[in-house]
Amino acid sequence: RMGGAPKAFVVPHPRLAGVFVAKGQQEALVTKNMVPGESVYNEKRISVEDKQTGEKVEYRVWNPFRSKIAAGIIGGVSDIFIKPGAKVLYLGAASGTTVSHVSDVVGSEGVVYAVEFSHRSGRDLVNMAKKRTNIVPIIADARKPLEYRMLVGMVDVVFADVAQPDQARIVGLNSQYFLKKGGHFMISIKANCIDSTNRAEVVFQHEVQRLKDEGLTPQEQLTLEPYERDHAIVIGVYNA
Amino acid sequence: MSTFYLFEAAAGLALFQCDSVDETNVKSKQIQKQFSDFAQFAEVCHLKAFQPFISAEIALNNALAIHTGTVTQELVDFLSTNLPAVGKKSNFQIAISDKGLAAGLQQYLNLKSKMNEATAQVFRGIRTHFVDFLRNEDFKERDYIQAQLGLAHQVSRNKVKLDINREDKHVT
Repeated sequence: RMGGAPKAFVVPHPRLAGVFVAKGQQEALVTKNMVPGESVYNEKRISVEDKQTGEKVEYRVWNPFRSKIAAGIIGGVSDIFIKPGAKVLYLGAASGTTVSHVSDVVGSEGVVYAVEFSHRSGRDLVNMAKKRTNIVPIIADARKPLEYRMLVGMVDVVFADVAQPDQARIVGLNSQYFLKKGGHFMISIKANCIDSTNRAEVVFQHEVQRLKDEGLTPQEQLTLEPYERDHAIVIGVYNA
Repeated sequence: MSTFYLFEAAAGLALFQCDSVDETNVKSKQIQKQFSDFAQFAEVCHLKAFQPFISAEIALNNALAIHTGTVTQELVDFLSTNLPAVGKKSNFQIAISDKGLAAGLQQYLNLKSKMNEATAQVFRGIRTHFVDFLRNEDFKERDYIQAQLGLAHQVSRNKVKLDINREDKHVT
């Protein structure tokens, strides 16, 4: 090809099923849009032609500055356990920007139970979930999992981005009810939400211990720099 | 003594009878293995009754009540129909996952309720295998999730609506 911008193409992520990488002018993490033609939060969309079928496939750019899971993936986590067909309990869903990408990843065979306490964010979440039928929107306090026990089944993964001092307890409590034995958890830790008087590394260490006390065994810890300051993501397995 | 388990699902109310669970050692590898396999779990835990919610409205009313520990007419009817008669000689207990609901039911039905580490583990087993237990009702994984989806949308719509009303109320 002579001149012009190189055409975008999309390849599967080298490690993570259901996650893709767009190549071309700029490299970007993307997910396959479950609702082609629509953006959820004005994110960029990339349409490419499937070489085999000739059909157009649309992907949505997953911005690591706006999503801790995306920041973790670009940072190099070995696995997120969120994959096609997976059932995910997502605590701290907010307006659902990252939830929408998780919904793309798990696809039509998977489910995302998305819990958000704030009614204001919850309203956006519920509206988004109307178009994405693998998202079960739950407006409730993640500290009280019994209050949504009728709405949630057993899950493969619990992800938490609740930014609360008692987040380890919140994840532990939800795991007791809903996370299968041998299932995985992933928690985003914002150091100054837990303890603003200690260094971030010390806070992370304490949190890891608290998770262990809840029967959650951390296996991997990763800083979210440069996308988030003093944030870490901790991933591990549940031993019920 | 028989032990029954009340399991509230989006699709309806279910009652299980789990008499031969070894409660002394629920966290042991052996029992965890037994609980993770449907055929083995079904040997100690049986589906006694299932009452689907017959309308979206009934499902919503029950979800709103049960999630806050309030007893509904459907729940009282379901339990009084499917549990053995309560009397001086009655010899059974019922495991209920929520304290508030257990206390409420106590007033209606005078039931001996039970809640401990072992019942929590049995409830995990029931949640894990719920769809398998309902196989005979032609109930599939898709139906299970569809019921959760429909009910979750109703419940959240209801919550947001209530919130709007609250915001509209002015302090006079």
